[in-house]
Amino acid sequence: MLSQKAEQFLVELRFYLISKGKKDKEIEEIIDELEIHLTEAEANGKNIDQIIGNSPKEYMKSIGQQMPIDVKELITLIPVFLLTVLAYSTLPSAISGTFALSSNHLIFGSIASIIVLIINGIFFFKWMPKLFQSTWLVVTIYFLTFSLTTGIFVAFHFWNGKHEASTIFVATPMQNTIILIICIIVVIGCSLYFKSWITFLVAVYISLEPILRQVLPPHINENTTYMIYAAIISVVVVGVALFFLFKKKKTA
Amino acid sequence: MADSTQMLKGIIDGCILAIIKDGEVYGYELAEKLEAYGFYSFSEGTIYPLLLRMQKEKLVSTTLKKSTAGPKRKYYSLTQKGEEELQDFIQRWNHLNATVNNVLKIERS
Repeated sequence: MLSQKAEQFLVELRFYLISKGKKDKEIEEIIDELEIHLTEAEANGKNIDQIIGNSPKEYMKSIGQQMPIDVKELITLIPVFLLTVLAYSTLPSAISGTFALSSNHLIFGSIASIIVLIINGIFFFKWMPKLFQSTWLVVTIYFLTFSLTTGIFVAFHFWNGKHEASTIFVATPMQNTIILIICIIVVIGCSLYFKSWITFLVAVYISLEPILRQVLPPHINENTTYMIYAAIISVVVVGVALFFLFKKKKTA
Repeated sequence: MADSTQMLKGIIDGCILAIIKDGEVYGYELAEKLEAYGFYSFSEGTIYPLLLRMQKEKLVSTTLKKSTAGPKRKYYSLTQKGEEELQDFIQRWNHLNATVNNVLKIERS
């Protein structure tokens, strides 16, 4: 059995190496090797500090320096990731049949997306590994990140509504359908590439609101009380899902 | 041994090669052997960045073997190139050892 401190170190090392773009297989290998070492050393009454030295950060760096960066993976990962983000941001308007592009969308929309990506990157690679031991802390931090992310997009939409910029492109119903189909293909393709249900479920989650808007009768649709209920329920559902997902990952 | 970390750099490499030449070992075993020989001032984990570099430079080769519990153990053995590097190290060390001893003997008398 590994001590909590040793387990924490291995999780942090894994995320550190992933964030540095190292090869998956080599990450697995070094983590396995260190897990064996730490398990045997702790069974013999040694302390983790005797093994990794005084500064875990320095030790992680010294490991990382000796591992090659997975350039091939990185080159495919970045476009796939961008495609996913693009599909996510296009889905709602394509579903409601109002897909249009303005210069504001292109310029400030991408700035907003980049800020959101950076915030989420910090969450996954800096905060989550540190707080790994406490599922509650992770979920709390997730809510903060999630609210911030949503806030940025909402702020962008409000701002965009006030500053009507020249519209570059408005999709015809036909084009809308095509764009929607492309989005669905991209989402499915990317989910398969990442081998993750989450990629797919996020798309479903994003699409839920515009789909409901079309399906539900207006008297329910425009009722603010229902809207608030829906918002609360959706945030809670995502939080609970994340909680169990995280629990499962931890025990796995 | 106050702090011989700086001094140990490079020397540990040669000792690791010598131990591996003696027979296949996995990481923890290697650390134990180094300790048994008297290297107890350095943190055991230091061997892993070194082993990674030796793998990259093809001085050692690795095989995975089942262990009693947990993940598979990674065993290291010396390659031809590693053998040459070891011979090289022995020569360099013998020279350095003799030189330092000479200095200390004459300057202290």
